[in-house]
Amino acid sequence: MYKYILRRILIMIPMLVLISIIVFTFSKLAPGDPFTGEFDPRITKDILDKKRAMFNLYDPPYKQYLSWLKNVLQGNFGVSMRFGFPVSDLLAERIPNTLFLAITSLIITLIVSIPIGIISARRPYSLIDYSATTFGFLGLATPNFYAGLIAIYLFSIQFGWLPAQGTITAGADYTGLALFWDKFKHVIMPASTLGLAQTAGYMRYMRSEMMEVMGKDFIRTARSKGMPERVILYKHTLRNALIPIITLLGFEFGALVAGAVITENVFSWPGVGTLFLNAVINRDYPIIMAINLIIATMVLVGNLLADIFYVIVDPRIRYD
Amino acid sequence: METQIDTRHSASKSLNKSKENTPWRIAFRKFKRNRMAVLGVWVLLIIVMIGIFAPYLTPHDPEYADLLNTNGKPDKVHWLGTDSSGRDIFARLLYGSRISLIIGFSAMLFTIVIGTILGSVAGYYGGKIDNIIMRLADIQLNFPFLLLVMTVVAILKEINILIFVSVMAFVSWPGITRIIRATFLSLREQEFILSARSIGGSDFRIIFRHMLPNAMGPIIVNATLFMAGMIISESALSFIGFGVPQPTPTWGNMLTEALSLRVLQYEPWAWIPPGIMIVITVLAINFIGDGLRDALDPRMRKS
Repeated sequence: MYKYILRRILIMIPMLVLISIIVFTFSKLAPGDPFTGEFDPRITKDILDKKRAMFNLYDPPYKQYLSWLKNVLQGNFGVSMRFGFPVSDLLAERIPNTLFLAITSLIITLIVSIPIGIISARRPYSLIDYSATTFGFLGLATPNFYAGLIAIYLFSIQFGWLPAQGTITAGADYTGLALFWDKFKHVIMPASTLGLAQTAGYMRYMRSEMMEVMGKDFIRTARSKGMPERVILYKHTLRNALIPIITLLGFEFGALVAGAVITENVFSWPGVGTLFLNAVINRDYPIIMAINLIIATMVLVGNLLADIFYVIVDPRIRYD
Repeated sequence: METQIDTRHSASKSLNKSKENTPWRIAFRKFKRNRMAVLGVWVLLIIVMIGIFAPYLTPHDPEYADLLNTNGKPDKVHWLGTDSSGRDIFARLLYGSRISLIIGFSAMLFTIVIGTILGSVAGYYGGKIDNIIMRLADIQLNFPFLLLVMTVVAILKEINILIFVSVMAFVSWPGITRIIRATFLSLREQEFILSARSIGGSDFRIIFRHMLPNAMGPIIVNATLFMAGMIISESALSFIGFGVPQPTPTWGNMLTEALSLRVLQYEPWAWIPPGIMIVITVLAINFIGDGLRDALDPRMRKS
């Protein structure tokens, strides 16, 4: 098994190189360079040319790629054309917010979809099952930003229960439990609407997976041995049904972060998504490329972890 | 389910003899029995009709901006009021179904064409070409859809409907290519393909006459579900201003109005209806897709 894992990690390296080449190509295709936006009148065209030469912008592309790669590996993504800050500083400020949002969203998805999926599978065609199915269809058909708008309209504007913007109440100096509660109130709406489609999808998946496992021979064996229904359900069925669900998480993470581009915008959430959107609007290419590179790498690693996890928890999978 | 597979098998041998039980006819009968799917067809038909006959349903021009009457309340003239540029919202809603459906459909069609060509080449020939296409797909799948579309849009600078649709198709080919390839891989090993090859059928003929018709089930099902996805993606991209530019009405860019807190709070008639139209349309298409899946491809059905 270790051989398999090692091989999977080794396969990742050429993939990473290709991803970096694609991102670099994007940045070369993009019009302008880091000095196009220079408005300082004291800097003449001559100085700009010298600066461009200093940053190797007149070198052949492969040389530029190598020096760019060297910088990226050292965590240097260049300087934002608009803000004038290093991109890595901006990212360091935004990434924790987006991770917080995405992870909360995943947790909500799991604690909603798994129990409902189980109940639906245990009592198919019951009232709960039908409501869950209806919710599932609606959740898959509603764009998450629209769900976000409706949530703001209902819970912030009409009822006034939840704040509509930001990560914490501005100006309030909460500590300890109060801070946690404040953060929770801010994250609950964006996180649940961000994961709406995922929740609906997992619920349907969980239901069909549970029903499939329930029909397997070893469940009948367990039942004929006189095992209590509770043990059959939670120990035998659930464990097997959870395997594909948990591995799906690895693939879902990239989708969540990408969906955050829009959800963060609806809720004015200061994360990578809003940074990316503003960068695209302002054509701030260093930021666009850095975010592309980071998220593509995260998706790649997520897929790898999912594959490895699958092999570890399911001994039926052959990995040679 | 088993009887269907059986009849499909024998039907492909003696297509003319048993006209009653061609696979398509069986699928159609199965589809008709699925009430939700039939409802989906009717709803979609109504929305298509609304799009086609929009000029007869409202006297207003959806792109005409009456700057003296912005953010107007619903009244007898403007049934759903006017937006921030003074355009009639009801007219935009009706015409919006036209644009949203056309974009969803053509983006789906582009993607299916690219995916079918690449997927069938990869699945049929295998080997090196298969490896190249599938590795490309793997790499592209590392870039999330929205991120990639927005990056490409940022590089392109200019955007119109044709460019937008092409970008969406260009970015979403890997998913469908994988599905078509998998179908072709399993078809390739079957006897009727071997026999077609042994009597000297050309690759082109085998792919188009023998394999593609047998892969039609998964292609149609995925095309339907893809179209729903494309409509949602279009609305999301237009909502943040990267889709179809104003003043062309789409449901997505109508929702942009809701980014203003005042509209969100006091003018729900401006942003709730386009969202509901998206939900209804996507629901209808998803029901049709589920119905088609059950009717066309019993093996794909879970539980």
